Amino acid sequence: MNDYDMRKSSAEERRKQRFINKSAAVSVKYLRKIDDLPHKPEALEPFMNILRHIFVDMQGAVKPENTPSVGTYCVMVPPELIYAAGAMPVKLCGGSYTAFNIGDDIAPRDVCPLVKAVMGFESIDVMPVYQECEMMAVPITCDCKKKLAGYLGQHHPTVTLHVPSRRDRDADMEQYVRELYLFSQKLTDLTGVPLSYERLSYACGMTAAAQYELSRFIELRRKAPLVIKGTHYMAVMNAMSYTHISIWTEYMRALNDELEQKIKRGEMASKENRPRILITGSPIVFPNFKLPLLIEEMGGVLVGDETCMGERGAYDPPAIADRSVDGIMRALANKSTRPCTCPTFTDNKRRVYRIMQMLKNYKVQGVIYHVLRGCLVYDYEYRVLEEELGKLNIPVIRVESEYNEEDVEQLRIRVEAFIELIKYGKG
Amino acid sequence: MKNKTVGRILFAVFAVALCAAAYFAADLAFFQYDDPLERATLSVVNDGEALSFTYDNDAITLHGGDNTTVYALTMGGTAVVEDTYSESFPSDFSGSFAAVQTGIREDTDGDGVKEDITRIAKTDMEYTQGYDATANAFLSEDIPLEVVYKDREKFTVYYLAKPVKNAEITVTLADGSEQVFTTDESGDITGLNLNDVRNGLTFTYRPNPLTTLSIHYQVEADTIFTVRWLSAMLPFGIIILISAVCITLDVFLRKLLYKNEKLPIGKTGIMARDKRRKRFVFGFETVRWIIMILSFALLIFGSRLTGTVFSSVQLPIFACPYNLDQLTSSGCYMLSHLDVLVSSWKEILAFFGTFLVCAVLLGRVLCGFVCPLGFIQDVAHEARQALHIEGISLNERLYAVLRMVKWVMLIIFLGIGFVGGNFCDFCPAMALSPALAGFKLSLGLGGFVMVIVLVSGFFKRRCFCNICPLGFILGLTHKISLFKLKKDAVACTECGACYEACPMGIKSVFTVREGKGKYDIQCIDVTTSDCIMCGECVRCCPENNALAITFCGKKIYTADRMKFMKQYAPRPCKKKGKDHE
Repeated sequence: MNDYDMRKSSAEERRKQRFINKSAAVSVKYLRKIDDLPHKPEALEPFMNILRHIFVDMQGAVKPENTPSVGTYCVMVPPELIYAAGAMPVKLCGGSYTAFNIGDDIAPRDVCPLVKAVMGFESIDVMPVYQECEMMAVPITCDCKKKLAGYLGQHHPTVTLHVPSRRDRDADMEQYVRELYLFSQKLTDLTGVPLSYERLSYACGMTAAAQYELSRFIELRRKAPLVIKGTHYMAVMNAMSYTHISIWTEYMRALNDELEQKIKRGEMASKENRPRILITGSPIVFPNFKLPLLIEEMGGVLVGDETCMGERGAYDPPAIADRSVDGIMRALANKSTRPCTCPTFTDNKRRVYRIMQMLKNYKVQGVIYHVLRGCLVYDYEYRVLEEELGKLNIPVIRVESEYNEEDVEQLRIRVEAFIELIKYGKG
Repeated sequence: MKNKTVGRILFAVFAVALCAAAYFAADLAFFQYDDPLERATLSVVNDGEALSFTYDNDAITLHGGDNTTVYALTMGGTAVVEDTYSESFPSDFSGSFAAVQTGIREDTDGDGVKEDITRIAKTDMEYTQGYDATANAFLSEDIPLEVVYKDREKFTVYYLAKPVKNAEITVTLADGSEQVFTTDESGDITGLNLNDVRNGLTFTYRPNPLTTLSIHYQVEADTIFTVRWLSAMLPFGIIILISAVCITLDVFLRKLLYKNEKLPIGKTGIMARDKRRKRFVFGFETVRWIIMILSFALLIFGSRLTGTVFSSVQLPIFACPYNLDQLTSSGCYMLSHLDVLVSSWKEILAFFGTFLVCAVLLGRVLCGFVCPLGFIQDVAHEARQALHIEGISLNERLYAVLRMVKWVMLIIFLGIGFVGGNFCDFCPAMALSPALAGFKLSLGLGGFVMVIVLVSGFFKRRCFCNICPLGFILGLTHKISLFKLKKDAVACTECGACYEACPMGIKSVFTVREGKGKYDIQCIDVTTSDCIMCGECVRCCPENNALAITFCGKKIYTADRMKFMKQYAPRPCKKKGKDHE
């Protein structure tokens, strides 16, 4: 190795070390902020540990030995299929500011920060949770994801899933079923476990157990929206992305049990008179927790979220009407695309309905519409939602942000004003 | 464009072929029993027993038959059966015998005066107790006292071919107990238990103190759990066998095809099991199965179990009226034989009355809960579920084809009678319930149709219901039916689970977003004429209150997320975090 290479590699090493230090520091900061929020349930600790494990200790995903990881970039990849193949899905949508800065140099200016962060992680090559993935599955939900798939393909074996742009035609659904079959074949090539009813049904049972706990949680929260801080809940859902589902289920059960006790004792996480706020729009990925934290710091309560890294992440269960391989595959394709509120679909009236339902369930008083700069499809839907919510007399603001901390103060003012508006404005 | 034309031509050819097949259904026999009169033999024994007919399989025996004249009912009237009894029946014999014994003088009522006694025995073979409104009656001077069994409900008593009005008739049951009945204005006796009839009855009538007439009546019906019953089940057994062979062939063929295609599509893990215990959730589906099994039993053995038959209730379902043991009658016969409908006003009124009441009160709930043909398809579907064999999932295009087939079926169903065909020969239901009740029925094309029903029902749940003409007619009133399917478009996530689960392929359930008005989004009526109210959509709906079945506006079954999840999620295991491998 000549001198130039030496210097270059050591520069590369230093860069990596710097990245690790920086990104760990950011993560520690946000973890502490989450920790510092009052009324933290005891059972939240394991979830925090998972996030710490991934982002501070820089370890791989929490999973049993010898389970290969498959990186997924959207909720439209059914985790059941991956569990059935004996692998484990890891949701890799990035939220790291440090990685974003690196990705900023590689990607075009107008690309959304999420994709930039992923590309940054990919190029810096230090996060084990990214590096240990033996395959990447990228549903083509938008142009950025399309190009991302191409970029990832240079580093990992990558599978793209073509997502139809409409959902009301049967032909589109059948096409996605076929897409899933092809995906499962790739998974079989990876792990050697062929697709069978037994495996699929087993995997579905596993995720169903998790969704059962999640439903229990939603039910508890519907009864008492204030029982847990929204930020804590978002941490729980973010932790799910990096954990084997059965482990997560255990933790979730403990959390549910604790919350149940709390409701019985009447211990709420916030006061009754605080403005209840729902967050929707672009995904909020750890450590980009500035918005939920701001809401709770400014005296609002985050009672619900309609984002893919939050409740949406595991909300829709497959309804297996036909107990055969094809039946389960159809159910999976169905649940991945049809109920998905992703704005990538041409017609998305039902997202408005979904939000209206959440407003009713959680007794929401205001909606914050989160848009990551460059996330066009989400930005498009703001207008529709504003119109509909106007009819219901629910205030809504659009908050655009990037993956950096420069706009925190600006956001703080806007969020504070919004909360004041709900508190006093309607008088 | 060209494809469409080809498709249309193909469909037209298929439709014409189907109509032609339906017209010649009787000639395209699936299973033919011997002609009833060919298989029947009559022998007379003088064993000192009372004058009566008994049945042993197809052999009829006349007991106590000395000094008797045996008459057989023919198309042309009453004919005397010559002394070489068997195989000498008149060629147009229509299945009823009577034996008359006269010239006996005995004192039966114990008043010391000897009376003129005439003993008569009559029997009707099972197939003559059919759906015809006019039962077999000799109405001949040779047979002075006669009872005619009508509709499995009433006996009309004739004395010298005239109805006996307002007279006392003593009925002696097989176990010797006596009941006294009084005939009404038209000479009818009602209120006899069907099972007593089956065991044989003796009617005694005294027109004057010096004359006693008694008639023993036996109907050929006591056939269940005998060799005869098994032989009646033979065609149905053959149908099941052929269906099983078809299904196996299909599975192997598909495996072969998929092998060539190199895709993991169509992997059929027969006998693959998930050993974890699933939670049993008692719900609407359980109730539906209980009702289905109950009604299946009642529509096959009903009158045997309860002893009565409600023949004026004509349920519009495919329960074959050739099965005389069913609890109610079926409206399918009337609808498919509209040309003979104008038989009696009472019957027409009864038919339309029940039909309207059923259609308005229940609608296609009958299809989902009561119809035996639907039940057998559900059983076939459950069999596939247990074996985890790949089904055939239909999409909009295929459902549209089925809808076209339904129109053809409707034309055949309503119109075949007018052109001289008989829908019953084409009807698959004829292979089912009469066979299970022990009635030997020869099957026309209907046997083949039943194979199609079973095989298609195996791969596609309730496939026949999609083309059922009777169900379509029943569904026409869905707008005023009391059972409704309601949807809350706000709660609905449009996940399509209901569409996936719906055996009838009703897509509008998940696509509809607005009801009649623009603001009617919380309680949209999504009932369509296809909906059989099986509740599968509600069971598969993961959203609270998104779908509900209502009766008179009251919710009786509502979608519930926790219930939904319980069906799928296995019980949590005790050990922590050891669920994964």
